[in-house]
Amino acid sequence: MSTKEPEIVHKTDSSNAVIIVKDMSMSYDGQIIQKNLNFSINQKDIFVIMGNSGSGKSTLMKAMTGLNRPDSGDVYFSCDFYARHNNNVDLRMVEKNYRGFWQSDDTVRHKMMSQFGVMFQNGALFSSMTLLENVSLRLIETTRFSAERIRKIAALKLALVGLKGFEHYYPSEISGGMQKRVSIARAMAMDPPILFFDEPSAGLDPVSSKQLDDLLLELRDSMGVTMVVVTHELDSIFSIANNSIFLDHGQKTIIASGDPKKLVTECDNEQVRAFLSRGKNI
Amino acid sequence: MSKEVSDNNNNPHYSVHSEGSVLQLELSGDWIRDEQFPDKMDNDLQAILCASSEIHSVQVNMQKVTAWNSALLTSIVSLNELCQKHDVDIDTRQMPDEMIRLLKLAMDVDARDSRKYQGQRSTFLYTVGNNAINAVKEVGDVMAFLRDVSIAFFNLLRGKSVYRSADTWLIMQQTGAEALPIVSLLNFLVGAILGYIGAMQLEKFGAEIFIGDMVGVSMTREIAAIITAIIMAGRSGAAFAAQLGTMKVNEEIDALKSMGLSPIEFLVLPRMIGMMLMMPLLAVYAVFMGVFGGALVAYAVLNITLEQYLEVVIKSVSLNDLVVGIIMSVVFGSIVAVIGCQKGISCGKTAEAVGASTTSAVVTATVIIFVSAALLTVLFGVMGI
Repeated sequence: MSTKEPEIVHKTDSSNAVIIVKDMSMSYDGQIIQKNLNFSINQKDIFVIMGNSGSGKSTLMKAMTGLNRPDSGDVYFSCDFYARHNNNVDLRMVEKNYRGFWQSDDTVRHKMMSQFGVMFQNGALFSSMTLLENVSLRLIETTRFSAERIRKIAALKLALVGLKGFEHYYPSEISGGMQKRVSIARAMAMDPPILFFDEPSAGLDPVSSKQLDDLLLELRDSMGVTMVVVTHELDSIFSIANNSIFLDHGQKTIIASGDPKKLVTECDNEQVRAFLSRGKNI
Repeated sequence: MSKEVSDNNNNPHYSVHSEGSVLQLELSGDWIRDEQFPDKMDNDLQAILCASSEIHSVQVNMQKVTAWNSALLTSIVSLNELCQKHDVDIDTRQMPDEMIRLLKLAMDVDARDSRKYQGQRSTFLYTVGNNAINAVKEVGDVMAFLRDVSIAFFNLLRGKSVYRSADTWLIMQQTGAEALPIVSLLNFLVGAILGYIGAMQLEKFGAEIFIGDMVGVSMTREIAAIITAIIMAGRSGAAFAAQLGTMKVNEEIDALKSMGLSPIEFLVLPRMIGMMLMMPLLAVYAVFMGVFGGALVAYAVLNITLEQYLEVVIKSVSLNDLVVGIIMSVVFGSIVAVIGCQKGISCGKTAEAVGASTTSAVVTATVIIFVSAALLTVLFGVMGI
């Protein structure tokens, strides 16, 4: 139980945002990838980060999930939201206050990370573990539930993604689409209020991709989680997203934001319209 | 019938009351506290439902629950399954909508049959038999691999092989030049150890001068080749297995095949040729390092000068000894390269499989090196070489 009262680093009065990215810039090997990124994500949003290959989508997600430190700026998480979902840490804050992830010390940052679930592009399942072990690993290491309760929770998560009965399979024994589902189950293991997805539909056939999109919508509606999805799959973007940003490789910043269904016709930027209409405007 | 578990700190609390044919389950408090989660609730409900055949309905009231997560949902799922089993209705009207949706989502899926090996215990005989079958299969795999390598080598000699000489040079650098420091150190130390132990024994008979004979002949005929081969197995053989295994995981080997290129010719031949060319050179170099290690001990312990020591070494070591050592080093080099590459090529497609292949490459090569060293020693002895 932490007794340290975290500092309040950012305030908003009216925002319903649970995540705010402010003045963030990122580089790789000395090359600037994106700069001056400013956007916010509301509770229960399915927020899509889109852009062409190499525009820095995955790099941005890594900065938001604590895997890569940005050059400047920060990502702020709603403390109220955080406190409501975290019973182990005494971080009860005034509503509408936000805490900077990268400004926090390692201990707090680590605890904040426990509020994310991350699904990686290739699933990143541990090949030496069964699906049940993959899903239950974080529960075993970070909670005090009994072993039987952890087994039940992990089995439930697998059932929620349609993999009931596959608990004792190994990742190599199931298809790529199923591996992605297991990865979602693993990301959901701790009931995180925020889920990050890196290219969830990549490499899937259209039917599997549609099923995965339906699953994300169902999980959002039933569990009330906020989802941040990195993708450039147009079908997915239009079927799941209610908010988005478009990262441009050339200008190295956000060139459009909003509901993609509106951006496709109403966006001022021709490149964004072309992207969202499969290049028809080019 | 009534059961109640509670406390005053908003900890998770449940109570079970039976009224006629209706069992009322009332939940309250904060159900996301992992330490206080009442695991016994599942057992209590099971005991009540199993004990009473009069219950036809279970009413779940969660209106006083202030927070919940998947842990509570697992209990509701268990209760739901229990109710289905006992043909009892479950009344979910006083449960949160989100939980009902999740419950429906979890229960909608038809369970796959449980895995055959879940909880399976193998007997001793099964394990022995299975290991024996795997060993035979492994020998068969190595033989098949040797056949493929032989064909590829034959194709190379005929000029019909897809062979990149640049790769061979790179392998020679990695397995040869870059291995010199560790080969130098270990063979120097082995020579010194041999010399020291020899000195202690020879001193008893006044035959100290023969330390050069002992170190020179043993290093030249066998020890230098064996020590160098073991270093190569741990260093280059493991690297071959890991490189090729990772290529297998990344489907690079499949990509080669799809382009009509033979992975054996393209990947294995450069490694084999590079290793087979470098091993004799390393072994000869190792002999010098070992002899030098012996010389140092001879001087330090027995006061034998370098000139005296080398004179004995040159007199005692024949050309036959050198040839035997070189033949052994070529054989050992082939073993390390073949085993390393075969383990890599036959690797599974997981990170764990790459680790297992690498370990297996080192262990298998080391065992075969010692077995073949013993056989070659006997063979050369019989031949009088």
